[in-house]
Order: sequence, then structure tokens, then C-alpha cells
Amino acid sequence: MSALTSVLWASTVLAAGSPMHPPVTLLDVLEQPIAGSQAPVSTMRTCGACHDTDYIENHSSHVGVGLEDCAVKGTPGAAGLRHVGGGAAAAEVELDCFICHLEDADMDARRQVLLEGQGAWASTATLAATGLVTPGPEGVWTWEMELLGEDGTLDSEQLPLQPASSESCGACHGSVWLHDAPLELDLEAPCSSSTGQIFSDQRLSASALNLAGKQELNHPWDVHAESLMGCSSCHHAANNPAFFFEADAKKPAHLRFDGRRLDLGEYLARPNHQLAKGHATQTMSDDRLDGSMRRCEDCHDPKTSHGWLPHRSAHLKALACEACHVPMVHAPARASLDWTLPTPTGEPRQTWRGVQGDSQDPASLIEGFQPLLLTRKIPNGSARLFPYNVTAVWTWRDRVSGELVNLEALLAVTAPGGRWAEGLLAVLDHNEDGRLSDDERVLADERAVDWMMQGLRTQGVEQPWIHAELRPYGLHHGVMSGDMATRDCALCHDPDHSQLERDLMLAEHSPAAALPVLPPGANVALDGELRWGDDGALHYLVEGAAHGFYVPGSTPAPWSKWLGLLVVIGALVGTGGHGLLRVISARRRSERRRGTSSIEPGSAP
Amino acid sequence: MSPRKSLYLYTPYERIWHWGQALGILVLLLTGLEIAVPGTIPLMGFHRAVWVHNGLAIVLIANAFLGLFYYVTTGTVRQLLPEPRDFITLSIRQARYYLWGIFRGEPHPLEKSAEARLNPLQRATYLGIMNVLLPLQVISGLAMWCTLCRPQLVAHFGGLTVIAQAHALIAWLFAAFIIVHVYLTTTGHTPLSSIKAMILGWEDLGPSHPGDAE
Repeated sequence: MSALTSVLWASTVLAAGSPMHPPVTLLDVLEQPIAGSQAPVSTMRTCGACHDTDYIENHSSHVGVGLEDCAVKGTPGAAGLRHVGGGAAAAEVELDCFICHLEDADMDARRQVLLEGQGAWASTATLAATGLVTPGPEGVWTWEMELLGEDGTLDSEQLPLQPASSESCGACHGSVWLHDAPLELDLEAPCSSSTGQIFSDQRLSASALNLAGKQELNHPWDVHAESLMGCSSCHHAANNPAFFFEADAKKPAHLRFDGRRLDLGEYLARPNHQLAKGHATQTMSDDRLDGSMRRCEDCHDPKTSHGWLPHRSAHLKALACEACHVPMVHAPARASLDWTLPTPTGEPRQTWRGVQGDSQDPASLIEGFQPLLLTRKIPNGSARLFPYNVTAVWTWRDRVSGELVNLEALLAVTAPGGRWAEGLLAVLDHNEDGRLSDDERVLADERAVDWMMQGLRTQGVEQPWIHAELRPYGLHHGVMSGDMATRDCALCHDPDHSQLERDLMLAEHSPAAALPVLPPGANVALDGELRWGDDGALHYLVEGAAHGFYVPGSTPAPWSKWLGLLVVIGALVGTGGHGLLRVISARRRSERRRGTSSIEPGSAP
Repeated sequence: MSPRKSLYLYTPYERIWHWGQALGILVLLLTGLEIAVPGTIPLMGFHRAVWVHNGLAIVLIANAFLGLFYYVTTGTVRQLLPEPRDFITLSIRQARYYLWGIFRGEPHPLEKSAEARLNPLQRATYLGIMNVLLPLQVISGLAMWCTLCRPQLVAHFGGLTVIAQAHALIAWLFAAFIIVHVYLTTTGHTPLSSIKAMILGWEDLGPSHPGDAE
């Protein structure tokens, strides 16, 4: 059996559980069996008995992610609680293989341990759902010795290990729903809240969501999920022999296919945990892996399926596949995120698009939203339109250090002791009920901004200022098949219906009237402009086609239109007038001739 | 009464070529309008209008080259070139006729013949249309078509937005030309004599003048 077939076969079998995985002896950090030491499990030692965990730790996209947030506890937007451990944090929190490779990883238990500052027990807590371990007093966990047996060796039923599943990715990256129960929405899922994307094979009409026009929505949330693909089908390990491909730029020009592949054993011993990825809009820690993933065109041949499309090559060059194949997002996504005045419990002020009413209320009608098409620079130097959700984000920063003001410092000003500060209530509590409602919790008032700045200075922030950012989040999931994709020319070419002409409300209120800018290094361009509406809301207006694209029907051409119309009207008036004068003069001549012929010599007067 | 004078002015190929171009330009204008300002003329829908516009443009360009080949090889092209001798004097006389003489029932200043069927103003206009407007329209249209193959080239000329506007403006100029052209066909011996000539080949020039060679 070839290595390639072996890997594919192993992936298929292991994906459903782990009957193939040999029994595992749980070891602690000193490589002693847990059954004896009852110490926290060490994945680096346990898994490292067979796999090269040092190599994995040094070749993992995830190790560095969120580390900064771990160091600055409570930073707004913290990813710290999702940090997988390892790397610079290894001494405190070891790389936790169970997060992705255990069938029922208990992320809640792990987060709780991290919050309690018991990083050494983090990997152990991830096993909570297996029943092998239970929480004990003071953050110390207790092993169930009768389950561990004499030497602590566990078979695949006791410790169901697996290749990373899509659900594993979903635990941190967004809503993944791959089972039969009607789909429910978790707006707290990090990526789903940014994009509204849901990776599920379920039909929208079968979900538990209150979707507008639900009966008509008989298509799956994502066509790739329906096709039994998983996250790792595209975001595969960099050296996975089944999926590996070498970028053209990195191989000799003459070489079309490199037949060399890692042996299955080699791969399993040293799987590279740098995962293939596309080009993120915003700078990320693993940007060096940009473009390591197959794009749509690497698997699909658009030429065979887009014969109906006029100017096919022009469309395919100007539009990313997602621009038409993610025509609509059927779940709410965040429109704005205001960290300038969090609640006493540390919650930001959020607004959502695509839902009527309270986004947290399951009865609220989810209308979905049409993505915003933005021009993205692609590596070959050209530009294409990609679909995005954009989120306006306001945070406090220190102008001197450029750093984000962390949540602890913010709450020390706004809600010392867990209650709204009196000074803040004095300027913002308009209904004087002793608390700030969501509508009141906006630093639109100059006095409130000044009050906050004063407070932050006392917390050591030298020059506090409100930084506003417009974060574009690319929509690459929630892909629709061809029959559901955009096919209506009018959606781009008819100005009355064009999605290129948009008035997108970003936020009802904007703290200190700070206009958001794109994050540094963002690879998209804003073709429209940010404007304040009459209602005081912040809008993003796009008129006509995106910059650099000519879209017949949508790109305004005022001077040629008016000048041309003037010429044509001039021609009509000129010829019409000339013709009229000819008719009048001809009649006069005719009358004159008749008059002349009637006065002939000798005739009676 | 003098006998009526008729002249054989247009060969069958010239007539077919002319009407082919006329129909083509008209459809291009209409489909162009439907593409540029969707919804103004709900003729065939945006999608089909694009196909028809592009396809027809290619046919029209091919027909233009066929016409050029015909006019050059038959020598008829000389009829389109303004005669340097007395060009200005004759043009002024023709313009005076359109602006003054025509209202007083004066005869055409320049008599049509099989060898000289166009007056100096017509020659100058057609020369401008065939050598300036048409090539510009073809080039701007082709540039719009293959802009994504050669974006750098198009960028030299201000990008597609400028080129598309130029294309649209030239289209309007063509529309204006057609209006004036059709109107001027009514200035023959009778309002329809010139159009009949382009259909039948023979133009009725009215009663022959004494001394005309029969």
C-alpha cells in the first residue's frame, strides 16, 4: 500500500474515533506513570513517547497564538484562554495535544483551570469528560485510580484519541455543527461572531434558528461540509503526504509533480503542525504560511462549469470564487465592538448585523446579510473582489506606548469594586437608574470622554486615546453550490440592485466620533467612504464599482453621459429646426408661386 | 419639360455593406445603452445584450475591413477623399447652401455624378468618422474587452473608467451622426430620393438641366 493511500485510509478510519491508536500510558512531566505519581499529565512526555513532540511544538502554527494575551491578563479581545500552551509559555502551560486529538476535549474545564492560574493542570483538565480525572480542591485535580489501572495504560475506549476533527477546530475557530440535531447558534464562538460563517452539512431549513424565509432555504450551510470535507481537507498539516503540494515558486520550473512523499510512519512521528492557510486580511502570527493552502481553483476548474458566464475570464480575474459563492450569510455577524466602556463584568458593547432585535434571543428573526465586496490585493500584484464582513472596533490605547489599555485598568476606572463609578453615572446615566444601559454606555459625550481619560491617566496610561479600527473579515466558508451562487447580472451591473452600491451601517454610535481605519498591513482597500448619517450613525458608503474595476452599468460615467446626451440633443434640435424651417420656406415659396401664376397678363383681377 | 435624370450611384455590394453597417451600429448603440445604463431599454436583458454587443462589434469590424478592401481595390475610395483643389471654397458653398440656399429653393451647388457622389462636407465628415471615430471606438472597445489581460496597458490611458467613458462618448457622437446623416438624406431632390438610391442603386436627381450630357 502506498504511503499516500495509507494516509488517506488512516485519516478515514481514525476520523471516526481511534480504534487504530495503540494503548497509551499517561506520563507526568518527569516521565513517570500518572498511576504512580498522580501528578498532572504531560502531553509532551505521554505523546512524546511515540511522536516527536519537540518537533511538533517547534512546527506548530498554534503555539504562539494568544500568548501575548496570556501575559496581559484580561486584555480586550483576549485569546489567552484559547492558547494551546507550549512555546514561550511551556514552563507554565504545556502544549496540550488533547485539545485537538481527544474526541471529547473539555475546553470549559481547561479554561477554568487557566483562570485559576493552575496552568500545570490544564492538559489534565482537558480530560475531564473522559471521567479519568475530577476537579479537586484548590485547583488540584484527582485521578480516578480504578480507571487508570496499575500502570496507567489506557486503551482507545478509555482515551479516545483522534486526528484533529472539524469540531476540534470549531472549539476555537467558529461554529462547526456536524451532527443530526437541529443546529443552534453560538454567537460567542470567536470566528463565527466575526463572520457569521457556520461550517455544517445541515440544511438551513432543518436548523433550530429563526431564519427569515426558512422553508425556502433548502441548501446546506456549507457545500464542502455537505461533501464530507473537513477543516483539515484544506487546512492540512504542512507535510501531510496526502495533501502536500509544493508552491510553484518553490520548485524547479520544469517540475510538474514531485513524487517524493513522506512515509506514513515518518509523518506520524513528525507531523508538521503548521497548517496550510490562505492569505488573511489582517496580520497574523503565521503569515509566513500565507498561500500554503489550495485555493478553490486548485481543486475546481471554473472553466468547465462557468460556460454560461459572459466575459468568463474577465469575471474570474476580477472576482474571487467566494464573491459569488458566498452570496449571503445566514447568521448574524458582529457589526461593531466597543471596548471603550465595558460593563462591570467586562463585556464590550456589541451590535450585530443580519438579525432583528436582540441577537442573544433565539426568537429574534435572523435575516442574514449580504457580504461587502472589498478589493483585495493578491500576491501576483493584481486585485480581486472578495466578500467580507466588516466590524468597527473601538479601544483605548496609550498614544505614548501604542499599547492597548487592558481590561483590568479600564474596569478600575469605570467600575471599581464591580459597580459603576459615580463620576461616570453622573455624566452618562441619563435616566438616573443607577446603572448604564447599552444605550447609555457610549462615550459620545465629550464630558464622558474627558472623565475616562482622566481616570485612565491615574491608571498609568500616559496619553489615553480612542483608537478606531475597521476590521475586515474574509468570508471563505459558508460556500454555496452553483445553483445557489450569484448568477443575476443585475446584482453587480444594475445600479438599482447592485451590491457594489452599498450603504452599510457600521454602528449606531461611535465613541468620541472616532472614525475607524483599516488595521495596519490589511491587504484590502476601502473603495467607499465613512460618513455620519443624519441619525448620528456611522455608515460606510460605496457608490459604484470598486476602485480599479469597470463594471458596466454600475460604474458611474457622468461626464460622458451628459456630454453625449448634449450632443445628441443638439443634433435632434438642429435637424428638427432645420427641417421645420425648410418646410415653412417651401410653403412660402409654393404660395408665392401660386400667387404669381394667378396674376397672369390679361386675366381679370 | 426636361426629362428626369437618374444616376446609378451604388453597387449592390455598397448598398448591402451600408445597410449592414447601419443596422449593426444601431444595434450596437441600443445594446450599448442597455449595458451602460441597465433598465433604460429593456431590449434583451443585460446578459444577452453583452453577448450581442461584443459579437456584433466583431462582425462590424470585419465588415469595415471588407469595405476598406472593396473601396481601395475598386478605386471608389477616391470618392471619400476630399479634393484639395477648391476644397474650402466648395465647402463654404455647400455650407451656405445648407444654411441659406436650401430655404430659398436654390439648386444644389454641386451636382452629383457617379464619379463624385459626395459633397466636400460629406467627404470630410466620413473621413473623420472612418479614420478617427471608428478606430477610436474599436480600440476603446477592445481595450475594455481585454483590460484584464493587459491591465498595465490600459492603466497608461487612465484606466478602464476613462476608456469606458471615452467609448460611451464616441457612441453618443455616432448617435448624433446618425441623426444628422438620416436628416441630410432628406435634402435630395425629394425627401426620400437619397434613401431610395441606397436601396435601389439609382438616384432620382430631378429634371435634367439643359446642356446635360445624356
